[in-house]
Amino acid sequence: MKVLLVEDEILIQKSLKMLMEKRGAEVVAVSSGKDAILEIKQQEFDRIVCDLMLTDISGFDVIEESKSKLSTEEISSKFIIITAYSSSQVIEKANNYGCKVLNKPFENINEVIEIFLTNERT
Amino acid sequence: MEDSRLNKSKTSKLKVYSDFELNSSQLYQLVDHINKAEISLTQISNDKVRIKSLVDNSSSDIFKANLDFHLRLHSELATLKSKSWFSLLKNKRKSESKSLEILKGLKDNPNINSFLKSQIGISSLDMISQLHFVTHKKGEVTAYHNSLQSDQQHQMKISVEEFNDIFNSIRKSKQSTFAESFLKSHQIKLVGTCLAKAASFKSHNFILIGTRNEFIPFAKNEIERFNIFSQITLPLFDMMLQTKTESQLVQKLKEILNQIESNSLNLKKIHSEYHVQRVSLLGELLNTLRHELSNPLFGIQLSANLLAEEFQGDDKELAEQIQEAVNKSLKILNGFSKLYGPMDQVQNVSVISLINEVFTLTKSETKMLEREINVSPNLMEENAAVEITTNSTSLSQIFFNLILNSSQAMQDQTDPKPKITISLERDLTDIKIIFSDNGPGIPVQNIDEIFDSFYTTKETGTGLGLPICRSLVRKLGGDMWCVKNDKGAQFVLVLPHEGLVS
Repeated sequence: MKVLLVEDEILIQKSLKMLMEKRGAEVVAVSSGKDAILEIKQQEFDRIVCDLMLTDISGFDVIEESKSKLSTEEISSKFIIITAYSSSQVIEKANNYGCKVLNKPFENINEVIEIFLTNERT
Repeated sequence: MEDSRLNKSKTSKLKVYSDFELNSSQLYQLVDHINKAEISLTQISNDKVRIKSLVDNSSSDIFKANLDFHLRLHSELATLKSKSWFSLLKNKRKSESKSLEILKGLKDNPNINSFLKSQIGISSLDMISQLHFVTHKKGEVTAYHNSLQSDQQHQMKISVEEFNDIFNSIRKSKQSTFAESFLKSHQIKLVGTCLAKAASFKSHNFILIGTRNEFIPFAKNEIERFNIFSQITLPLFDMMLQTKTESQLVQKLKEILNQIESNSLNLKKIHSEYHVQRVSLLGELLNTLRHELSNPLFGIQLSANLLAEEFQGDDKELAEQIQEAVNKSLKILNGFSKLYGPMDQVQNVSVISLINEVFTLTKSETKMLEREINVSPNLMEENAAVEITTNSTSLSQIFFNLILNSSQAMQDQTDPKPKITISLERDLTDIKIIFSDNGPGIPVQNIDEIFDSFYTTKETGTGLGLPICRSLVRKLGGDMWCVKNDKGAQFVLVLPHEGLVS
């Protein structure tokens, strides 16, 4: 499974990458929204795990920019938003895109990695 | 009232009326402070609106706007917390309750001599055994010296010259206590050291002297109490001597009483509004802090998790301990957010877990405390988790305050070993939570005062904890009170199952 991980907190980025690679996934990790958009345009991914608060733009901006390459269906099934700032507005916006939102920190890390790496959305 | 002195505030937001000239400068300062506080708060909420619209319009500005905003919040909060404001209000409250006490006494006993006699040896004047009340109506040639003891009174005439001599020597000296010698040559016989006040009013000049017929000097707090007593009574005596009939007098006294009582209601309202504002500001700060902290903490947790999987033996244990420490930190952060969350939302709250969270938050103060949480038999039968629907922020704050009060009261106690017992009971509509400790308890004479704003026994206490707790509980649709107890302090909270947030 090919995963794009967009997370600017380096320790979280490295750890999540390692955790997913241990499970056999191929992970491309980037630290900014702009880099994420470049990667999405250049490669195919099965899963895009994207932090909301990035240093340059927001995770939702990344989703918007992906619309030029991905269909609504693909956006809904591939993107998973992770964030420490969940609010009802955030959840509403995510719902508009049809994407799942997970809160950082994760209570059960293994469960979450499982979710990242499963094709079917629960 | 002709003699009324109206001290209007400088803006229309707050009007405070007072008939006590001697308190007016204090009042001006007070109003100023309150208005400044209000203005700061308005500014912050205006900024919030501005920043919020910035945030809504551009997602990349989120962090920057938040950081600036929170830096500002922090500095505004620092000014709002200004100690001088609190101590000013604290002093006002002290003299306010004295004023109420004296006014009530006067209303019941609207004769000056008779009132003064009744005050000798009690309360403010408990160190006094004899009072000399000397009055001079301006323009008249004689003055009257009233010599008062609790069971007798004598009145003598003295000349204006003599009166003025005594009056001026008291005024000139700038002291409050005098040796017997200072009045030796006059008609008024004084024995021992005495306390004296001389005051001039529109139509009268007064001298009030208090003695205990001994040579022991007066202590600082005795001097202070006498001063406060004179500050409150003398202006009132001036008014009383001008009022023609007793019924008019009683009427005037009633009016003043009402004004003071409504001022204090005003103060209470300002408090609870201030408290809510403060909580929501602090909540914002904490929220940002929590998010800023939880990201790096999460990073540590994840990498420790990975290391634990890679390592063996001691290294593995170390990595697992790192994870545990991170979990604890995250838990504490969450607990603090509960203290400063939104105060207008209603949710299902597990009372026992909230209490335990508060113990965690107050760990540094409550570490040495033994604690016991009792759940009444009928609750245990139902196996209920003791949940109620209410605002968890307000409830956290109430528990936090009660637990902290107890632990601070018992901090130097070794015997009996400090213990807090919390009991939970439930009936059809409410739950009852009883907080008891085995500390020094609350002195019987203060039990009615503890819920008054600014009553405090702590040197650095604000005296606002219990009054705020009670208003919070009432906001939640319940009530709280203190039980008279000789085995420590005991507070009872009653809350409805389905909480109201008004």
